Amino acid sequence: MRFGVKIFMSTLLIVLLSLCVGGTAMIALSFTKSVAAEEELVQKDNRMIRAEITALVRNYNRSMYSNEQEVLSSIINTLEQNWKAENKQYRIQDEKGIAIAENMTDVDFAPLDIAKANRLSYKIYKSNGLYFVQAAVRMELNDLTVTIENRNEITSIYLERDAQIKLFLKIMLFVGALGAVLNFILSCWITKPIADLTDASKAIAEGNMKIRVSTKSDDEFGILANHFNSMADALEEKIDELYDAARRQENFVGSFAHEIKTPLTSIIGYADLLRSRKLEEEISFEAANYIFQEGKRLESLSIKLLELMVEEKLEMEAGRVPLRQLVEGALEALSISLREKGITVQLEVEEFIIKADKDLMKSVIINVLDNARKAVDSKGIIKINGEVLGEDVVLTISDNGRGIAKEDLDKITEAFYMADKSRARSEGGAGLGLAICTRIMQMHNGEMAFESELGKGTKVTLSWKGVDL
Amino acid sequence: MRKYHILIVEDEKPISNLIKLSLTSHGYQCDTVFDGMEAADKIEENRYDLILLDIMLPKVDGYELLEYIKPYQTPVIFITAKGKLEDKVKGLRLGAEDYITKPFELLELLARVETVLRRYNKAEDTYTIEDVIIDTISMLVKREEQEISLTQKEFNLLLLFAENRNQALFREQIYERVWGGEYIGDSRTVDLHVQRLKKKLGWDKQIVAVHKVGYRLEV
Repeated sequence: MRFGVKIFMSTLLIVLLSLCVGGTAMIALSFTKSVAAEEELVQKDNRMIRAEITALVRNYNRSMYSNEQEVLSSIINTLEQNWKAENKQYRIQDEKGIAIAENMTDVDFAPLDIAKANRLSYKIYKSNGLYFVQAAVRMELNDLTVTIENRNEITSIYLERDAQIKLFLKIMLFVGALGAVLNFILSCWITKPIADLTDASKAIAEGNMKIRVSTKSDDEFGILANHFNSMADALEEKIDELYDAARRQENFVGSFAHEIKTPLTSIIGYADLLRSRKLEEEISFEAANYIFQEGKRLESLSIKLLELMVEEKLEMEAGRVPLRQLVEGALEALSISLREKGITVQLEVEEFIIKADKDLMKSVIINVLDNARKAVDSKGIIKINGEVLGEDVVLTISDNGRGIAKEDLDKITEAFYMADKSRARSEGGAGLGLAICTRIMQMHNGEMAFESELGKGTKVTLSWKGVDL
Repeated sequence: MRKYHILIVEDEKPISNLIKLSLTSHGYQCDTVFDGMEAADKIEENRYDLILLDIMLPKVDGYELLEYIKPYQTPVIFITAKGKLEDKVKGLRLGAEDYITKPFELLELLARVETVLRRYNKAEDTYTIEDVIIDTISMLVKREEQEISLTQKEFNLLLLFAENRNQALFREQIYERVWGGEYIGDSRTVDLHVQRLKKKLGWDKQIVAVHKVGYRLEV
């Protein structure tokens, strides 16, 4: 059963139940009160009759009357005068059960237990569809014992009670219906945040990561919605990361396949050409040369790939190295190609001992320098700046080369990424360098940042926690 | 015989050159371009019988270029390292005639080029070698109006030789082209069929063994 339905049902039940109990109690109370008043009244009347008879009998005793018969006649007179006028029902019987005086309808009086003299007893009963409250007493006169009975019809009280019950049922029905409607609206309003959360979590489960719930209310649901949203944020971020990683992985595999297949196609094709027919000398030379070059390309690719794989696992060995010596060592390795292109190198590096894995850091610097070399035209300028900022060693290498396009900047550290495929290849690259460099910088608790403007040049900042304290 | 004009769109110079070399040696006339823009220019300038198209190209990629080529109704064969099924399906659905994945063998490339040209009624339907006429459509081989009866495999073998005249065909190549599937080292199937073909055609001198590795049709 839905939560809203549960709230709806239970609230409605409580409302109806309390209404029922309250109403029943009210009706019962008023009914009991009315009946009690009638009982009181009938007893009072009975006492009055007795009082009158007692008074008359006392008068007889004072010899105001000659005999008892006269007394009785007088009594009957009095009663008839006073009571019949008031339309009260009464009956006075002698010991033999013969009525001395009476005023009653055709409904008979109910027999009452009046064994004891002067003891008033009363009873409520129903006869011929009418309700009565009846009182009776046995009274001993001088030599006569009479039974005095009187009663009031209280059918109207019962009728009123029934009417009240009917009215109450109508009210119940109306209130119940009205309550149900209000209740329904209320429970919908209360459970709306839950429904929203349910829809949202379902949508997320189905893969719609963008969905969020409203957090306007400040109750527990608001808090829950807030938490839900931050959970969804975290989830979305994680999933994006995973997608990203998967995409990079796929790109890597795709690029790797492409990088392998391209030289393989050439090697197989040219070799096939060479073995299948006699070729002109020029063409055979060209074919052999392509085979050699593409073979070399495969070799360099496999070495780089091996490096990448090894460095994924390798622990680095941090040692103490003079920063300047490290940079000069890197420049040394590239000196020939730098000189060939007529590139000016401006070196501004502080004499400082730093912590780094000498070989790995050197290969990072070589890689970055080599990229700079490829980017600049002849007579380009490469500036190398090394300094210490707090705990960080900061090495910047900037060139005045062709720069990197904005859309490529984020991807250049991915394996096999080459901003300009054909040009990069003619410069002898395989697109693996920066991926390895990023990995090495991570191992040094550092990072590699790029700033670049097309046509103006590129600035690479290597920074890592390498200050030797 | 008319020279077929083929455009090679491939940014890898070695591969572009390789395709050009082997197509030219089979009597095709080739133009090479190295990116999508250049290709579009060339297509506008000349009428080509066939375009060999790489997918990953600088500037304009192969898929986009294919859209551009469509109005010219020039058949296109994709040549790419993207070997995944969905890439192939995409390429073929876009309207490419065929799809060759790198690394490919030259024989395969030639055969597919030939097939596509033939489909477009551009390649020759018959080969005439010495006094033998090979009809590729009715699959009949005749000498002086006299039919020479060949089995399916023998016919395919003859066609392979006809398409690659004066070129050494290696046993594994022959096996892969005619029988399909991987060549298993010391199988005598190829030799047996070549011997049968030589006998049926009387081409003892024309089909010669090459260094014990294969055969060549010399005409």
